[in-house]
Amino acid sequence: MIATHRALDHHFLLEGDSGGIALLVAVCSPLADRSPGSPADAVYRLEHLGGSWRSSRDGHVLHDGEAGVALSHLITSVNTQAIASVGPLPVVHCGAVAGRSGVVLLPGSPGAGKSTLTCALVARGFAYLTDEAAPLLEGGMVRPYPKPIVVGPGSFEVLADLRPCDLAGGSLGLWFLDPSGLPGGTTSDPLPLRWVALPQFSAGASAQLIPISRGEIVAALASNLFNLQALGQEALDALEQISRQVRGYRLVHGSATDAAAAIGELVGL
Amino acid sequence: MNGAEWPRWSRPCRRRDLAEVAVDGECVVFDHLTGRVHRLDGVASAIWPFLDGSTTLEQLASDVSYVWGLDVDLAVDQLQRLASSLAAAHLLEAATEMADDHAPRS
Repeated sequence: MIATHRALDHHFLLEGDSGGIALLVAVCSPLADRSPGSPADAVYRLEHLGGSWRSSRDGHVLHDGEAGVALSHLITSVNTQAIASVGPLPVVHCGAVAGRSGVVLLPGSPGAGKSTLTCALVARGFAYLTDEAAPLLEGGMVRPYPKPIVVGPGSFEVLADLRPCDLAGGSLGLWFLDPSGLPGGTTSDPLPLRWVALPQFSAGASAQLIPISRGEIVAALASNLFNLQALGQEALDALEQISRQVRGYRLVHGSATDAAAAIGELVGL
Repeated sequence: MNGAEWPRWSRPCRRRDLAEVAVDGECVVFDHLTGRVHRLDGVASAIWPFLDGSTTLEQLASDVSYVWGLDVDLAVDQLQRLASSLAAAHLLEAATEMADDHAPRS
């Protein structure tokens, strides 16, 4: 079986009933393999069964329930396999966008607003690398992982201009955005890491970038590595090297729009 | 073990299974047992390499007082607090492994 889609080095096929495959193909279009030829590592399936949506990987059920949640679980499963596929590279849990001088990483745990801020930056014209996982290559380059952007209802108002076409009659409850359709578009080439900004929401605060030390940069990146447990000392050494070429900031903000403006001023397009 | 239980003659020893890196005078430490990343402040980072299980807090305090111009007793007090907070973060070898080191040496 030749894979039709690729997430980093994870090659996979999509399957489903008529409604399911239409949704899957639309949502996963950013991951369509432009030059297929690799064998598939997995088959993901989405189907509508008696009022419920079921997502699965290689026959193992990921979720049974609402369409948006089933899709979201499927994307999460793809992410997990994608992260594992790159081998011994540090992979940071973060959003990442690029201006003309290089990449800004926005590390953060789930719910920190990475996707919303990443989206707001891509809407301003920054190139999209990822809203979830950034593998760091030797020499401090960031490998793009242009997965679909998934945002929840809490971000709909901020990102109202980006509202996607409704794929499932309003039942998804989440937005699955194709980054290639946003103003900044995507990039497929690794780009140099230049900035790390740690988003910190503070209700009512105006956006402020507070410089942090190299030690804080290394600690923040390490804390947000998916594979720190596996890499250990090797990861810390790699992050120390990378931190030499990076400026770090704590980004205190009260809205993603203001935060994106502050990053825009710092980085330039 | 709390701060009051780190006598002058104790020899704190940093855990040898931690991953660590020094960055511009700050130590970043990863504990694979808890999955936590710790960033030590400047003072802790300066002391950290000397917590090798062979140096007493009193000996360290003597060096600290010389380098930073502190009173020795004050330095001992600060080092006891530091050892206590590092132990609370599980970054030091377990106290049971140090039992023999807690007796004063003549």
